[in-house]
Amino acid sequence: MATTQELKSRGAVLLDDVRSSSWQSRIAVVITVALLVLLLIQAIKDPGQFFSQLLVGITNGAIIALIALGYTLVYGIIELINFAHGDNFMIGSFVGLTVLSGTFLGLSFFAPITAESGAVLKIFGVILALVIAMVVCGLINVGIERVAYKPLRNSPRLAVLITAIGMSFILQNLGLIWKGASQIPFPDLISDDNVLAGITYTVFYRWKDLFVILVTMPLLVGLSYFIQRTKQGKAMRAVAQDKEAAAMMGINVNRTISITFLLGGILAGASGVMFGLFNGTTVFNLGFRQGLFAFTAAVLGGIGNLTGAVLGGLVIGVIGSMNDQYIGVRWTDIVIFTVLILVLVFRPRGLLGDRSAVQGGGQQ
Amino acid sequence: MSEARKEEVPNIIFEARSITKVFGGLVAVNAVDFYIPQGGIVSLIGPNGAGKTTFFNMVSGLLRPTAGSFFFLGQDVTRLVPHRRAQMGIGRTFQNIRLFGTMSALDNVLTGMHVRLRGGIVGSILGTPGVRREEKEARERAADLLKFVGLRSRETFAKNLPYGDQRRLEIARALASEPKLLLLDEPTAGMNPQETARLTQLIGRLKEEYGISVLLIEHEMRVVMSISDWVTVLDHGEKISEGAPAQVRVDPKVIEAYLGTAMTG
Repeated sequence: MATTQELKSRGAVLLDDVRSSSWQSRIAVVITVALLVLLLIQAIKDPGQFFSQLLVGITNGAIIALIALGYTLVYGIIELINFAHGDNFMIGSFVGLTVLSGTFLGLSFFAPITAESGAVLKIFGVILALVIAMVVCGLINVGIERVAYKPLRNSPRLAVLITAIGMSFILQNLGLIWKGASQIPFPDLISDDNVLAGITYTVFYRWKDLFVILVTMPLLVGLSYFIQRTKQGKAMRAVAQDKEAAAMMGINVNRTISITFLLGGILAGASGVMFGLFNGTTVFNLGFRQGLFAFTAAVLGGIGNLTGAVLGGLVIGVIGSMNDQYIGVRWTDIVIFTVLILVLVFRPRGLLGDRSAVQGGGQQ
Repeated sequence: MSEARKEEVPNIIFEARSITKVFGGLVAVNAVDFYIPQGGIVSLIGPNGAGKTTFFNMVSGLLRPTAGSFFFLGQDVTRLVPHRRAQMGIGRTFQNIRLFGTMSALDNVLTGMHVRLRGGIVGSILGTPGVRREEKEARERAADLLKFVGLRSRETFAKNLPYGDQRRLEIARALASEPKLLLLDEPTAGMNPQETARLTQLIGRLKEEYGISVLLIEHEMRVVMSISDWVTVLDHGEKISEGAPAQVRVDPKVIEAYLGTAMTG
């Protein structure tokens, strides 16, 4: 509970901040406030549409956040932007698609699971696709680290960065060979009906949106528990801060780095399958665009910071969906990257500051 | 002289046989023979640049010796990576404090316990009762260790602790891995006389209460002379003298090495 005196002094501090701020930041604040007011007007004019759009944004943001976590985890521990991560996400969606089709390498394991299948079979299929994609992507990520990044651990960082870009192309082309160049439809397993039907008809929230949240939430909670609470999580934070000191604590640094890549891959696999089921389609170069958004989200939130990656993902998702609705789809990319640039100009280390969460959970 | 001592103390916990380290053209450590008896406090002294820290880094495994070999508990550990040595029971602190800055003091100590906790990756994800009980016990033991080194603030981030507390926390963290041999790299550097006295006392207690052998690099001669069982002197990478503190103190070669440095540098 803030007393009036505290409030007053806070107000005074705010006034001082405004006085000392540059004219650029004043303009940025004015623009931001203007946009928020415009949004508020829209929200009052048609609340149903506004909240539907907000929920869509959160759903999109959740998918981006899961990929962004992979970037940020790896950056936090070895300070590498793993450009192959977005393409690993694409592989995840392909693996999910393959599992749902029931056929692999010409061998048919079970009948394809399609929109006509029974509810139990659908649920089973989705869970199976998610689990297999998570495992495969996790292992791919670990493999990439072993083969491509580990031998270069003591090389200049540029060498590893170029290698990461190379791995990205390799995965992309593997995807191209595997499923071809055209857009591939995903079976429409999850209903487009409104979850809120019967409660309200003004806000439209599809089962698909709910599905994404239902998969994302446990993954986020699990990841946060793993990093904050468990022995391996502590080892990860220790390695992120000081590899030699960590080794002197008996922590196997190489194994800890592998586990980090495994976690990132698992999240990428899950979000790949979710993306396919949510958007109904996937394509071999999907990882480029989504990866770029996710990377943007990670930087926006503060790269290396887990909470930041989730926040960045949600911010990008919501800005994207609001923009789709009120400004126009073709402006979305421009607006998102403009926001990124503005954030980086005024907060160069991202919204929440870099690296703090992998290393120990924010400021104190 | 050193042969005679070997016969007196049959229990050798750590031994270095003609260790040499060459960086490019510079011989940092030259054919040093060295051993630490079980439960002993051995100090390594010498002027700046004598190769003490290089030797230390080789003992803990961060550097590989160019030639020679190390034996720990009768086993050849020369080619063992640092975390395996830590698992065997070699713990260390660093000259320039290297705590995990944005973790709490308690978490730093818990990280030190890493090797002694069994909880595997699956168990930690599922949070099985065994793992939970172990975590709880670990927390209690970490709190005890903090008490042992005299640290009261548990939840403060390591980087926000006062300097002396950081040094003590580093020792607590190293103790958490239950070392049989503890390497202390200038533990009293930058401390005031009172803090130094308290820490000296603490090092003595390590030996008495935990039976830990200690290898100490130290510049503060009062500390070295008061707690060491044995002192080895390095200069320009060579062992120039060793013996009981009183002997080393009057060794003309040692005096020359220190005064020589003082005059030129």
